[in-house]
Amino acid sequence: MARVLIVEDDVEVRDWIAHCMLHDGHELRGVTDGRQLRALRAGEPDYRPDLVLMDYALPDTNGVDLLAELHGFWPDVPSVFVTVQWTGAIIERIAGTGAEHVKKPFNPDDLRAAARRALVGGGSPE
Amino acid sequence: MIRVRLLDLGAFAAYFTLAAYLGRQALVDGSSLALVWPAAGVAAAWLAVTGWQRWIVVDALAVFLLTWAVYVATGSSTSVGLTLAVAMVVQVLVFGVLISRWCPGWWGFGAEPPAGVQRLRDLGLLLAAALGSAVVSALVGPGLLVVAVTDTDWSALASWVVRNSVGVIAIFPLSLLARNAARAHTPGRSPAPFGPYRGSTLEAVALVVTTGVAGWLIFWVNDGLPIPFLLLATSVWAGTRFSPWVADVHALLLVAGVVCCTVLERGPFAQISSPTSQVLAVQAYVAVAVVLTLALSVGRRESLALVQRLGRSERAAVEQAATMRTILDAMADGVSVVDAAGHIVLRNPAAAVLMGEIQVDAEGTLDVGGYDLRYADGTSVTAEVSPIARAFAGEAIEHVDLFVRNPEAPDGRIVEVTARPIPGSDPPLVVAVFHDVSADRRERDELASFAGVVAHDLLNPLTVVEGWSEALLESARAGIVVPPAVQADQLDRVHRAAQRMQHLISDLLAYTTARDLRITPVRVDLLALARDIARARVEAGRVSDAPIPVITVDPALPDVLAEPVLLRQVIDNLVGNAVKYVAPGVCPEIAVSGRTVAGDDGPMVLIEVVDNGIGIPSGQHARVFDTFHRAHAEGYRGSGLGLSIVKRIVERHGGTASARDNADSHGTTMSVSFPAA
Repeated sequence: MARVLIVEDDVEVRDWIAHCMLHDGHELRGVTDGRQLRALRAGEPDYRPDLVLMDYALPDTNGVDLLAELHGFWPDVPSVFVTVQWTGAIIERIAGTGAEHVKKPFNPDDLRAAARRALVGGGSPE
Repeated sequence: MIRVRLLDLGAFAAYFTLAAYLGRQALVDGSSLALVWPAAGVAAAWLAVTGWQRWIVVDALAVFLLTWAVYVATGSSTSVGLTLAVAMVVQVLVFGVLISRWCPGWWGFGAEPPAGVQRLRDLGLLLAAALGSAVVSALVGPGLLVVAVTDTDWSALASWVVRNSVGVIAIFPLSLLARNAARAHTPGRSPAPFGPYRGSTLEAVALVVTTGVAGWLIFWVNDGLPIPFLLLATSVWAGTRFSPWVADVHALLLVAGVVCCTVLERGPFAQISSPTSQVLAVQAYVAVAVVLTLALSVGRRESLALVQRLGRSERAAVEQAATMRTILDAMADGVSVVDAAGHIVLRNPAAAVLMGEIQVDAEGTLDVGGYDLRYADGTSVTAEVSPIARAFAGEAIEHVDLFVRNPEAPDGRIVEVTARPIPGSDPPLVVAVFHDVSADRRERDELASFAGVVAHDLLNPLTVVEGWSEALLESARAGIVVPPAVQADQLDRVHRAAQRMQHLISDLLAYTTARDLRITPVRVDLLALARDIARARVEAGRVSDAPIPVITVDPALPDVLAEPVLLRQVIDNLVGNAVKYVAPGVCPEIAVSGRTVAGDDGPMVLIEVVDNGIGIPSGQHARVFDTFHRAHAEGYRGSGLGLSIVKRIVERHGGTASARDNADSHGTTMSVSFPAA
């Protein structure tokens, strides 16, 4: 069992991701944007996720910038990007993080497999 | 045709006989050859009209018989007459062979006469053909006589060559002129063989008088002095001031005078005791006079034609330059021509607007005048790596984007530049074309962004639909009994996601309509329209779980000029937002009001929708009108298109849209304006 943090602004999608991850018995938390993430960090200093499932398009920032910020206080937390099929520079930015990338709509097994690989790997190449 | 041929035959026969007879009268004592032989030129013109056709046999035979007859009639023996007649025909035929090869248009032209002697080259070819044919005929005529008749010497050959070739040069063009003038039925049909007359009539009279007086003094009054060359001054006058045919006539008259005086034993040539030397001296003088006159006049004509052509070319070039300048000035694209030092040689107004006062200063540094000038990748443009410098270095500069910020475009613009060296320019020049692609690039970026956001907002609910439906399907297939409440929850999620997709698609269609629908403004009863929308919203509220909204509409709402469908979309979007964005459990209270205000282009109706909602976060009051911007992404569904649709419709009507917090810091006031009716 691992602590999994889902960063996803679409509540319906976040619920579906949570449903998929519950299958492996993980402890799940969710935030919608950078503001909520910082609030979580400030409100629960002892909380540290084992895995972050990150969306790219967020209301107040983007997933790559937020991941870099997140690694500032939770170093080496592994991550999996769960996003729609972006193109061009965004794809390159996501690939540049070295994180796994699952594209919506996704197969739940693919998401869980990516999460397991990230957890086994133990951390982001960053 | 035959009638024309017979007319030509008769006219030329008479003309030839006269010329031959006059030539035979120009005999000096002690010589058997005439001083001049204009008949050679007449015969050449005669056969030139016919060309290489069967009729030339008749014409040549006529030349032969007439020559023989004139010789016999003027005292020559039959055998000498026959020999010289054969030589005459040989000369004309050889002349025909040569001139038809070198100047094909001058031989066998029929009713279309040639342009005549236009250039010195023409005169040279005429001279060569005349000389060559005279030499050949001299071998046939005088040559045979030298061998057969003991009292004839070889100087007769030289005399024959000179007089017969001069006869062709002087008479041939004028004979064509005379023949064609006689054939011309309409004025101007027959071109003068030497071109138009140039000098004035008064000057022509002065030339004739001067020539006559000088000739009289040199050849008649004071015939002891050997100064016949002074008369050539009048030939120079004629050649340099008059057209070739006037000069030719002058030369013929001068020759006729000199020959007459010599035959009458007056003038410097009559003083020469040896008949052979006398004949050669006169013929040399005649040849010099004719050729000099013609060479000068033809050369002058050629120079005048060249000057005229240059003048026309210059005028055409000036007109073309003016046309090009007008085109350049009217172009929306900028065009600059720059030298290797970076100095602007030419540019149009559009280039000045697009690129400003950017140029290379005396030190070779790119002076951008304080402007921001960069390539698309952000690197600064310097003199060394400017598109112009790169084009000079041989690099292909095709559609390279530059970012330019100057006083004309404080926000900057993207200019696409193409620069190429101008082939053959000395000193080397490069032409650069600047095209403002700011709008294109913005549209492209917006389209890419738009497509990305649409994909994102459709794929998210699609993920939900696919995920939950598959989960349900797998449960059913596996025979797992899912509690009805859980099942209902999952199906409800699928349903809501499908609704989101439907709303997004509807909003996208509305957005497209707001952008593309042709606007035909009509007077719209805004009060009735607002009340209708309010009634619909209240009715919708009654059937939902949410509190029923309270919507008040100002009865003093003025009429507006608008496209009714789009106006309804605006008011409905604003009221709909006001109903939706309220705190949970709060009853929406909305007031729609309007008043007429002054606008830049006439009176406008300012419509305000005031709500008691959750408000707009600080700093986002302008951004809420951006496409896909959502101030409240959490807890409130929406596509992020509603207010951008409002803004687009309002702006297409010439109005404005804005948002501000209410005075009591609760809720928002949305304002839009439309032209007053």
